[in-house]
Amino acid sequence: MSMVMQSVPPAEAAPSVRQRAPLFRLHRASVSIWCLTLVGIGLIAVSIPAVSAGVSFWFYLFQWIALASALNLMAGMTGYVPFGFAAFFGIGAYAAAVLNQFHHAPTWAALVGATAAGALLAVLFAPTLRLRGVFFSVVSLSLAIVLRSVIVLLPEDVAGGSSGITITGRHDPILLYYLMVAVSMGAVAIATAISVTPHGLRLKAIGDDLDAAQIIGVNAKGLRLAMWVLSGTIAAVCGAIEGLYSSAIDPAAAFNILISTKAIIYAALGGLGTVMGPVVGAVIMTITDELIWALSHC
Amino acid sequence: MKRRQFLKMSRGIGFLAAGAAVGPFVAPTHAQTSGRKSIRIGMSVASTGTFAHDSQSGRRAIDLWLEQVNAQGGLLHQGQRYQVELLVRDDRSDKQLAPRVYESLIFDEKVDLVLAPYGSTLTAAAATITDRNDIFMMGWAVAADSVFMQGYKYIVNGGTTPVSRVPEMPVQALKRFGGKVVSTIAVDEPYSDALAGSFRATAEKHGLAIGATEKYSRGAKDFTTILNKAAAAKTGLLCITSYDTDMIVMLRQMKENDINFPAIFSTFSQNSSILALGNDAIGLWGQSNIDPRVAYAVNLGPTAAQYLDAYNAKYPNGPQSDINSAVAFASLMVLGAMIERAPSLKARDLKAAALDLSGHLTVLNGTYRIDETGFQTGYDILVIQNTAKGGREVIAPAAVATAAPLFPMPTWDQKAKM
Amino acid sequence: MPPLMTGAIVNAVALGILYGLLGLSLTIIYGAMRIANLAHGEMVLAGSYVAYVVTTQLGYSPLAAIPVAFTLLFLLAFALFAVAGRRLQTARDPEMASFLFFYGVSLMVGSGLLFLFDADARSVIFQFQPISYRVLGLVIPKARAVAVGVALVLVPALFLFLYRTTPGKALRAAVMNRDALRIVGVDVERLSLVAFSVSAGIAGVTGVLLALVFPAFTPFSGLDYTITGFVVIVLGGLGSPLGALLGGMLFAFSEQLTTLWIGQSAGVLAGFLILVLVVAIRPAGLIGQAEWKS
Repeated sequence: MSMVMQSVPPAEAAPSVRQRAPLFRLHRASVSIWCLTLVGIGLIAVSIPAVSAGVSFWFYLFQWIALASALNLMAGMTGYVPFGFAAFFGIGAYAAAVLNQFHHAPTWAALVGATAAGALLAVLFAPTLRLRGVFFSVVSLSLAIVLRSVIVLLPEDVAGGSSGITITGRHDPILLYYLMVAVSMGAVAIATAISVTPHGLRLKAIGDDLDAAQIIGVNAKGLRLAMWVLSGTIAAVCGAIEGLYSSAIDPAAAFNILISTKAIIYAALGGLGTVMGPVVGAVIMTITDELIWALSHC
Repeated sequence: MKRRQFLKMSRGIGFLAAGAAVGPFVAPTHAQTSGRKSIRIGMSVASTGTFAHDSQSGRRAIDLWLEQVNAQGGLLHQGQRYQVELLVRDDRSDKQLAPRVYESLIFDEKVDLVLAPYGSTLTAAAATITDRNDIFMMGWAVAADSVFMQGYKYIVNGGTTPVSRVPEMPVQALKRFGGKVVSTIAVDEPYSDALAGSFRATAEKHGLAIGATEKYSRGAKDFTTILNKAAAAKTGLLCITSYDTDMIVMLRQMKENDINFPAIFSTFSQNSSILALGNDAIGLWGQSNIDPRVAYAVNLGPTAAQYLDAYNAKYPNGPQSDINSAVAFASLMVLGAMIERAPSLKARDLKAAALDLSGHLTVLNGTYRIDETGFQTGYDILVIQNTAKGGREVIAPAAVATAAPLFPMPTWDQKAKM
Repeated sequence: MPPLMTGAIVNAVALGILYGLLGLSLTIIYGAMRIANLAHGEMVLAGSYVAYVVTTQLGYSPLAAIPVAFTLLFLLAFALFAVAGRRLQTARDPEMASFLFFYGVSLMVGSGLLFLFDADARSVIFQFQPISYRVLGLVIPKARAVAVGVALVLVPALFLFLYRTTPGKALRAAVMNRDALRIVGVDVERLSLVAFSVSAGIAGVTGVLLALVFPAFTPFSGLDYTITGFVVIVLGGLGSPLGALLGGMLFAFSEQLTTLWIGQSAGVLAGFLILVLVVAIRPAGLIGQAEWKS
């Protein structure tokens, strides 16, 4: 981490063009390679439905890329590890399902609703950002459990109760697959954009030493909140698309703590705090999982 | 930092390239081979997770059926006998893996038709795939009524008594024995909550009162308070619709606090984990679909007694046949008849055959009957009561009962002396 | 409903002590080493399985399982610490590293139990005679009385250790300032090893006691215990032994009383809501140290 600290100007009162210029040149090579890679992944993703009969494997691969990247925005860049990350996935799945099934909203409206629900929940949970370390993680997990219980306790015609919701309307799986690809690419693009701007450094500084970062003038609260809302919203959209894709939503599956832990582990495997890490981690783990699964029934 | 990030990126690109290269091999697309050699049936079984135990119980009976069918030359389809091939995948009880499993079966293995996974949640997740691809799916452990309200065209429940019809026999029995109040304890999960709700609806239909209706979250460990509440409501029949683990804890807490009920019903009362409690399990009402002493007028396949003999011959060292094995076997018997009757293995033809056969087949657990959606309306359950020294008696329906019920069931003091 | 009410209160006291014990070992590990032991539930569960083997399979009293569980978990933790302890403590981000490491350990212990005992429920069939006592019209199950009794011996012993002996005081000092402790010449490494192993041993004993009160479990039950443990110690204040006990009591009382008045689902909800409330008002927990808050 020493390298990060060195590259932060001692007093970042007014980051001058002179200071940023040399950084930017190094950027250009890596950023363009990275962008090419993203385009490459995007091309592979777009051509999958044409060459593969089933898209489920790819759908979930991109779901995990998106979730791991979204988690990384928060955990990797600011050092806050939300065990309750699944709450966002769950609220997105439920918002989409309730809107689509009970209020007959079209797919786009269900997705917009889920996005709003995710952002709203993130704002609602924002006070927990006052906490640190295990406190934050455990309170975040508790809130996920509370949210799940509230949904279960609501009347069945509001949110399906314990039985969950089965979506009867048909949704084109290929369209949903493309949406998931778009969300995951969007998540990675956001992470890239953040890391090439000074925000990336500021976030890293928060993660390394909050107090020091605040002293040198980083608006820790504002940045953290922005990351939190972004991260939660992406997860909610993932949940919504997955809900529509699988068409069966129940409290246990939507708020499964495995969604949090898998996203954390995938991101950590590739490298928390890097743009590439969550993508690599999610790809490696999903493929490994797939190979183990494929070998298990030989 | 930039250099390091750059290094990480390039390393990542290598991994990604490897991933992209491996991916297509993982999910290859085969060309269909011409000429039928066998009938290929796909299914998924859970190696781990919530449904592992139950889905494996079903699979043992399915393997027994397969062995029997192939030993007699296979199934007669389009005037010719075909061996049956079963292609099994692992779904790990994972709702997200189920669609993937069925895609793989349909596209990679080119199966002709599929058996559903265990449980309603996984079945619904898999049905979206099979129905979209016009593949017929035989459900064998799909108890939730809601699955059949979704407009799926090609799924039929061939084995299980649906949740809405399970309470009929126990509630009728309670009324006949003079009980008046039904209470329910459920965990907040789909099957459990739906069954508890349908117990209450059935009780009201028969003019019985509802006592306590308790619901708890998964992971709860102390039930003393809700059991006391149920006892305070003068409950006649306590329906516990959650897992056997929780049921064991509840029974212990009833015993320790000397809380008695005239009757307790649970789907799991005859599970080995409950029976291992010895005297503490006496008097419990459970649900079964078959009993060797209950012989329906079977016109297809073995009677319950014959099935159990065959099962025990194949699995002499256990585990024993349970409710999931029996329903799996029943639905496979029905499926065999459909395949033999249908002009082709196309989903539409199989569904038509399924409807034609409705009401005409009586298998080991009763008469198979479905409506247009594939929803099962036949197959009444048997209410089984545990008796002293590991025995069990059928106490309902009245027509096939093997003994008079212990009602009210022995109190904890009485059980201690048995 | 007065009899129901008194019953619920007696119940809450018994459960509160057990929840407290569940948090106590977790808080010692966290306090002394800043390690979040995510495998805590599985360690407790391993203790429950020891109770299962000793009572149901071998036919001894569950009390005999207590030393066995303690020794087994002590050794397991000792080995774990020897392998990874130093690396975890010197990691750049010890919380994250330990989170990942212990998540892996929890999966391994869980799978190990699954391999050894299968997925179906196992239960401790042993029963005390008499099954329960009747005091002033209240029914008190003997298993609970015994579990609470053992906990009531164990907790003061732990407190004596922590507040009256030199290693105990060093351990509490480590909670406050590790570096200072190192400067005054304490072998923090060895201290951590002892603290971790003893805590794991206590987790094992907790598992035996929990098996007496909640006699059925599966290899998947560990996570529930981990969550309860973390909630209890965050509620009470991380690193504070007294806080763990207090947190356990508060959690049990809120759960039991809400169950009585509203229902069990709401009971769980209430427990977690109280946690959120307490932490919102006092981010360091009931009696935690101020240094933990942001």
